[in-house]
Amino acid sequence: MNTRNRLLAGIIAVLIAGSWIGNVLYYRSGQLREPLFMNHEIMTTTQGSIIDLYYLENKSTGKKVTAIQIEALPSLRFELTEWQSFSHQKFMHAFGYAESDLQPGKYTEATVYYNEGPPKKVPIGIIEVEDGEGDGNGALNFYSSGGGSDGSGFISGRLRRDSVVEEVSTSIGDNYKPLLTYELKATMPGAGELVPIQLPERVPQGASLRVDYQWHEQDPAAGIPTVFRPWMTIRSQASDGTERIDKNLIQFNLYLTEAQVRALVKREANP
Amino acid sequence: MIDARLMAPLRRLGWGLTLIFIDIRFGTIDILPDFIGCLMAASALGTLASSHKSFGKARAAAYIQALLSLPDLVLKSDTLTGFASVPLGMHLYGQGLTLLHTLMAYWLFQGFLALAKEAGAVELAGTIAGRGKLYLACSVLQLLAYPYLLNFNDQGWMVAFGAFVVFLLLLELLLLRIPFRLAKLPPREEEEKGRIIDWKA
Repeated sequence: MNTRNRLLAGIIAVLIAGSWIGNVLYYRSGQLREPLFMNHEIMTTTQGSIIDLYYLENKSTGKKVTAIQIEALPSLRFELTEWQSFSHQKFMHAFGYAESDLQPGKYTEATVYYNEGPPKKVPIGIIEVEDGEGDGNGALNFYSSGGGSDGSGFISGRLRRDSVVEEVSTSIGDNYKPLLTYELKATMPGAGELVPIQLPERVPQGASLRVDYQWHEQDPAAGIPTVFRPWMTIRSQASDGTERIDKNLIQFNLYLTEAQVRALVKREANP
Repeated sequence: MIDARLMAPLRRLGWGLTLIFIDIRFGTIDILPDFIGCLMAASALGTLASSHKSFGKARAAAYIQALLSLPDLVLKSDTLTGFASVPLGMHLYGQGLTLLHTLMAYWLFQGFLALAKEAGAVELAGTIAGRGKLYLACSVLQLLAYPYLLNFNDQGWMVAFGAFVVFLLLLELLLLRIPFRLAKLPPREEEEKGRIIDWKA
């Protein structure tokens, strides 16, 4: 091998070694120490059968979640599926369904089983199970709801009787209230158009009410993102003077970006 | 014209490289293990080493490759599917083998080129030189690019890299054809063998 070839071989060796060292260091800095559960604010009723949890775990290195259990809710079974995939992590969806009625209460921990090491109790935020079916003594016949992956959604219903609609509120904690904006609209009988209404507002029987809502993006650098499943409550007074409460669970989907996942991993490494 | 005694080892080398190239698995078990191909190639290179010292270096690389490829008998070799789920050690192992194979190919090209020139096969020598440069440039590019996939492994990059790997396999086919082509050169006459011995000395 002549000098020129030696020099070339040396440069190639340095470049290959540099490429490995740099990429392995960056790769290691992008790994979670262990699966990271999102914060949850989930409302449901004893007959509500679905509770979804979300967590991030490394694709390659480290512990993987094999099962999740909420000890006080033994009828709840979780199925683990991939929700989103990133360079180094999978964002996992633990789809929980109850095989029988849930016990009312507030639950803040899940027992998580891993492919290696002992199970661990992990804070998951809060799951609040209320008594009853959750639709209250409503003034509305709820007939539709929906949501999109962009964080938008709606609930709508038709008034059973003349009412004064007084308030629309959500069960979301005060800290998170700015994350959700919503607007109440109504279609009066005979009119074709939905128009925003200012509360309180007298609305006749047969009118359609619709709440359009929009979730806003969370900043994972500011903390672990929260997965919501809140009540949206419409309080009204019927013509007979009785107070009517309409409660509906609204949709929420958490989608992360590669940069957000990176920020979460960094945050987990340096809390 | 080429020394007739080199023809059999050249063909054996070609078959050895073919065995390394072909990867047929039942589940994770490789039924045509690379180490058999490496040992065949190393054995052929032992004979060829007397004609050119590059073949001796290639033989050393072939022996090391045979040894290191033993775990590959039972390991899933396709790291491109589910790339991010493959442990880091497996990536290093796979690329270590690729580096060794590239070194072997470098010395093989040097040896093949010398043989072709000495046999007076000018056209074949030109082909070997061209293929050698392309093969080595692409292999080095692969070795440099692979670690980036650890951090940039979305579908677009993986498809582009997969296409590049297919191209590298085509270059590998062109490499393993060379010893067969050299073995097809007209054999040197009996009376010329004395000169060959001088040349080897």
